[in-house]
Amino acid sequence: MFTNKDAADVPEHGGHMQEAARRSLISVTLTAVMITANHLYVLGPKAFGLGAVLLVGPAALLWWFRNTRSSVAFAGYLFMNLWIVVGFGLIKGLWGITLPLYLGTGLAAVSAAYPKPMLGPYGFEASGILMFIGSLFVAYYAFQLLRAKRGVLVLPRGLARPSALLAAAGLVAAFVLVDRDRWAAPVGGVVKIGVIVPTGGPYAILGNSFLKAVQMAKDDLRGTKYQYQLVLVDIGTDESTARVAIERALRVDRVDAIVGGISRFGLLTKPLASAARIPQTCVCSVTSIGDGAYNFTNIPTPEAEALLWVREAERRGIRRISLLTRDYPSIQGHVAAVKAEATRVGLSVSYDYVFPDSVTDFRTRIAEARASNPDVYYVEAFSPQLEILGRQLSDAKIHNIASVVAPSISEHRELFEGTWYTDSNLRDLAFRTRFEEKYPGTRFATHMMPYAYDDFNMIVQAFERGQNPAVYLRNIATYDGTAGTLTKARGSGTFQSPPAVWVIRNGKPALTTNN
Amino acid sequence: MTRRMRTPTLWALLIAAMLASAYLIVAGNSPAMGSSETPAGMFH
Repeated sequence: MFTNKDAADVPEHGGHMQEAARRSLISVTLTAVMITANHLYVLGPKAFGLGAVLLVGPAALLWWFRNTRSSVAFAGYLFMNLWIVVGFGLIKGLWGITLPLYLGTGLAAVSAAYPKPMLGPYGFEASGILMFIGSLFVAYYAFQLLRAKRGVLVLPRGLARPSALLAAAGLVAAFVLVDRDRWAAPVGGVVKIGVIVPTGGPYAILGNSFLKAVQMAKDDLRGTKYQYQLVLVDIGTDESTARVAIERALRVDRVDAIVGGISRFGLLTKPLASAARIPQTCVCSVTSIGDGAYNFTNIPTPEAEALLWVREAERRGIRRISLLTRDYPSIQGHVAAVKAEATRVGLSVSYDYVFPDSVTDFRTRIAEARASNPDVYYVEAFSPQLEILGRQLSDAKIHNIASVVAPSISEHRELFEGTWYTDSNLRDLAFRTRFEEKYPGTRFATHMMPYAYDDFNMIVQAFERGQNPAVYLRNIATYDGTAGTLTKARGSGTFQSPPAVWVIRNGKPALTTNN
Repeated sequence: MTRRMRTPTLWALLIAAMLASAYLIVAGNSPAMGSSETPAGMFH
């Protein structure tokens, strides 16, 4: 393979050497620029420090070698070349970026056993590819430099190309092997399912009822092949403590799958679940969490809610809408979708008031809204502001109120008697009855609980059928859920479900008959 | 085209093709951002 000669025995060819060194340094410089650009996405400004080391180090070592013929300098220069080629070119550029981008995407397109790769911004991916290509030039010119110096390590010309091709084929084969998600029976026959949902602070009602829904799903299991253990992950209510808790659940508790709720924490879990190669199902309205690889969302989208809301408004003869809504992202998500759909079908917004959480007196705004002659007052906020607004609307003798989801989680639904709204289509009403009997005092959140229950059961089905849970979820096209049939397009990470129109009747949510 | 010219041209074409196809893959892989895609403070 390699022949070692004593460098001292062979005279160096000065002209060749100079030219080879020049080309080598140019390739190192250009590749170092690409490495710096790529690492800006990961390290931020610290990447310039890395870039400085990669630019100055080789140049200084080569200058030292040219002036002194020091073997230490030459070895140091080659070592830096090796670092660039192996560390940045092959491991990061090829294995970490180029192969997932091209081969990973291709494999995922032909088989659900392969995950869609997690891709970064285009600049990150492009600089990663150039980092790999640059490293090929670095390797080639380092080889030329060695040849010019003659006598250190010489790879015979006839072996260079086959060796490179063999190495490339080996890397591709290894990627195909490693990238595939395979079924592995749970250790000791126990499947650990991490439940990641906040249960304190503003999330207390939703989080606790989510948790109960998952517990009920577990209690409902009969005659399963494996045991199912819930690992309740105490994530608190802020992201830094949540990250530590999630990492611990993955590393120490070694959970096999995750069911979660609340988009803020679903977003946090997403890269961690992907890195651990376990599925996360999330009752999250931020649909971009669902990547279709390891992360899947399951809740009606704001667009689906808006479509039905506007259709119901048209059915009721509504032409003008007055909006009184809280400045909260998920609420404004609904509002934006409703406005877009209303505009599309020709309904008009007569009044639009978005308020912060500090507002407690809405009377002036209610009077202004009334003056705009709306056919309906669209109201959306959280408790206790929702109830304050509801009471002041009631005092103003305004009862033609509509919403999306909000009345169902109100602390005082009687304030919204007759209010219609869209929410999940709870086909199995007995599910809610059973839940309320099992957990008296726990609020049943219609837009979360059925999906939490279904998410748990989808994961159980995967294990019971002896399939890798991520692959199983990727393959699901329809699922007969407790809130209607869930559908998912091939390759998508979003389970779609149609919402329904509800009305508050006798202080309780009731499905309208026109669903 | 001389051999000396051909090699850099082929490399340039290969790199351009790789970068262009990478752009298409990344664009196709990006999830469509809906109206609710605000990452912070999301309630459900």
